[in-house]
Amino acid sequence: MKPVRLKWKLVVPSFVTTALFVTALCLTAYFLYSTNVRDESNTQMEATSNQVVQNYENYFSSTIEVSAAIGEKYNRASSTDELSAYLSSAMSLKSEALAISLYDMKGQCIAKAGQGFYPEDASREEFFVKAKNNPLINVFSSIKEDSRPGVDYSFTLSRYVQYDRNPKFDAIVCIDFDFNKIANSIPDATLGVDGRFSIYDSSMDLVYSSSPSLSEEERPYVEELVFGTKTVHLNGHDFYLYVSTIQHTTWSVAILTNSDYVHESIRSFSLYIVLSGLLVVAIAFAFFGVLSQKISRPITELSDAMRSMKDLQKNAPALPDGGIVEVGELNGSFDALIQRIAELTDNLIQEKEMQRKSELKALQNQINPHFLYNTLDSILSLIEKGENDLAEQMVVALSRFFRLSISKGRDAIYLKEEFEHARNYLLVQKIRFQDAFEYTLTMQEGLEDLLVPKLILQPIVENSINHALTEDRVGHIDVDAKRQGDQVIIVIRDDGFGMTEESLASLRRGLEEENQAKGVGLPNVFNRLKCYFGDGVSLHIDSIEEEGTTVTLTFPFRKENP
Amino acid sequence: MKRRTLWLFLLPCLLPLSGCASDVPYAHAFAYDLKDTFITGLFGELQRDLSADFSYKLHDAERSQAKQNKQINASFEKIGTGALIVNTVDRLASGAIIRKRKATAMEGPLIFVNREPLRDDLNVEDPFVRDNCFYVGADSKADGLLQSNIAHDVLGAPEAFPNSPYDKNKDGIVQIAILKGELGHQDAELRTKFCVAGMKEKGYDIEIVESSYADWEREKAKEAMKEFDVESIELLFTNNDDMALGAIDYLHEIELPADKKASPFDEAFFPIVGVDGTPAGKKAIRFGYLSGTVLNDASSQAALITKIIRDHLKKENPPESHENVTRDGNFYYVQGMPIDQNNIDSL
Repeated sequence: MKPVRLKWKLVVPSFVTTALFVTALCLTAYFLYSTNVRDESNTQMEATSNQVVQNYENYFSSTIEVSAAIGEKYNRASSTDELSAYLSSAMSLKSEALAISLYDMKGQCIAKAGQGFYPEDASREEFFVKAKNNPLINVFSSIKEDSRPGVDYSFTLSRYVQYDRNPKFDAIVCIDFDFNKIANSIPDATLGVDGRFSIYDSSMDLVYSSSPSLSEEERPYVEELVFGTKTVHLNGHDFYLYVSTIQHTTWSVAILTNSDYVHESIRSFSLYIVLSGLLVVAIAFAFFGVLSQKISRPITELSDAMRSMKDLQKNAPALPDGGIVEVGELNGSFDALIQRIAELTDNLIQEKEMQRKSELKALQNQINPHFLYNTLDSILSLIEKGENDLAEQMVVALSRFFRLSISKGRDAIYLKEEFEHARNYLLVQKIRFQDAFEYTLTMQEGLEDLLVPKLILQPIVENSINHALTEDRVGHIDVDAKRQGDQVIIVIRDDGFGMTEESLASLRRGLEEENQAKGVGLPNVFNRLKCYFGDGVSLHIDSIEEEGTTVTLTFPFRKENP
Repeated sequence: MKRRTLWLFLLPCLLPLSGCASDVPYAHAFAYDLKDTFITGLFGELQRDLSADFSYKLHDAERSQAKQNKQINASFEKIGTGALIVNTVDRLASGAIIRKRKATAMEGPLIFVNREPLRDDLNVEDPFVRDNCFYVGADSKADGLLQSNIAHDVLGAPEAFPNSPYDKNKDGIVQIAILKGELGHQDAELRTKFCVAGMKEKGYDIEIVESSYADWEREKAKEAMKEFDVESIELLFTNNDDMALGAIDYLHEIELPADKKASPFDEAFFPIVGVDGTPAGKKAIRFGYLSGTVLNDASSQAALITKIIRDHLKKENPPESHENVTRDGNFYYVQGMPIDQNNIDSL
């Protein structure tokens, strides 16, 4: 996987989790809300519709009670006058009654009250025939527009009346009712925009509709539903359709309540919840962004610092830890690392510096005009004396000496090369000083291929020659390298005049001094050995006046380049 | 891998949610009011007959057609195969229930009981109605006539009535009071009509002095009796036993003048004739409070309903007229049987 920045690693999972959680929350809220709103509004609309139906049923029941009361009165009245008087009083009691009339079974009017249409012969009228054929029920005619003043719609209730004492006098009672009162008892506002109610008879013919022009579109739904409830979409509006039978009649009433607000309410809630969801997600994003920034900044700074490490100094100001313990520890470790690297770098620089100096010194020494003139003079005198062999030896030694001094620019050379270098120097000097000293170079087997910094022997040997040259006798210089355990010990010994106590102490102090970079000669050799091998290096000088000086170099036995 | 394991755990949890569909056919019964003793008895018989091999459920509409419509709607949603036994609150709603049944993908008969649909609604000319919709009820005309027979047995021959102790005012006319069940109920109207017609047919001079609707209820009958001039009554017909018991309750309560203190339950006070033959009614006959009743044969009706349902589900033709059952179109009328002091002990 492709590596990702820390802050994204922190932000993305938290953010995604929050977003998922918020989404789930929003969806749950949406479903709960919409279900609740639907249930709630359905319950409410059902209750309203129920109330409407109840009103109808109460109303029709009350009309039936009127007809029943008339039927009972008919069984008891002793004269038609008494009957007419009763009809009038019934009219005044029942304000919706427009007209009441009684017909015998031949269709002749027996008694009447109120203003209305009373046919002389009712036997062919629909209300009469239907009531006669269904003696056990109340027959309701369809609701029709009415011509009476102040009355828009009316309907007729007709009923077969048993005359218990003599079936020959059975009759039909017919009552006209004003339908407006019941129709108006349902305020339009209750049903909403285009909300309406319609009454259908048992063959689904429209009996009455509060909006006749719209009734056709609802009819298929009403026919399919018969009774019950359903949500329908008509003419761009949502409706709650409630169909119910009306007690005591063969009619059904269909009530359409506009339920657009349910949709609107759910939509506005959805909008609200989506917006608040987005807000929460945005806040969460910002929160996690800041949080991750807080955590990742110190780490980012640390990583930036590491990337630009080369610019760092040993005593650079401490990095901010951002108030995080782990980052503080990390910074501490990093600082320690930098310190160590700086130290190592310093050592390296120092070593290079000293080597450069010693090389320069050696070169200076070697191209020292005195050394070269003296050597060349010696060679010339040897040639004049005819000691060509010695002259040849000297030239060869000089040439090798110079070649090894340069040693192709390498820092470290094999110990055998270093010995070779010292030997050539000793040879040149020995010929020059006409065998004023003897020398030996011995090396234990196995040390030839040891890598050492170059020019460690020649400066010491040069001192030894100076010490060893006495006028009265032949001096001796011995260089001996051997291995002792893990250490290599090189001893350079002469039997010259030695050193005074003072000069020996001063030399030793010089070796112990802190800043040895400036030294040339022994201190320089010592420092370069320390730089090259680290700890485990020692340079020891012993000297007794008139007896000689011994320099002992000790360093670890290490074959490969450290 | 983890997900698959999860599914393995979830699957057994889901299993009980599927399956479980029962092969037992439904029989849903809808009563207009379970406080009505006769209806409770009838549906009790039905339950005994059907519960063995049907998933039987009884709904109480508590006298609200709207409530019953809702119950029927809910059943239609559930039922695949089964029978609906409907005792409508308003018999005029039968047409709508038939239309609703027609619009529903359901198999099984729709049987109306006790509340008779209109001929126009249960019209056998419609093949759907002919094959699926039936009515089972009492033969109200016959019941009314049987009520008059019982009255006749008590009152004696019409010629002898003027001299009998039952003619309290000695006018030779039988003063009749009627407690009717329910306005527009076919049983109420027909029983009333035919008990009166039966009296006339037998040659009595009659006069209806009191009549009132008491909605088949004992309490309401008791209330209605308060409005009656009890002393003028010479014969009381009620459309059912519950109302007769309500009238008897009232007679137990009233304070009559001292000389008549013991008389409300004298045989000659006035005979009361009911319909249904409920256990309480029969008990009242044994006590002598009730002169007689016409057994509205709940067990025969329940047996007939059960037979129609079983035949229908076996795709056999519905039964024809037999014994006490008269079939007219898809209307089945079960004739009652008179119960009075003479045969009460033999039942």
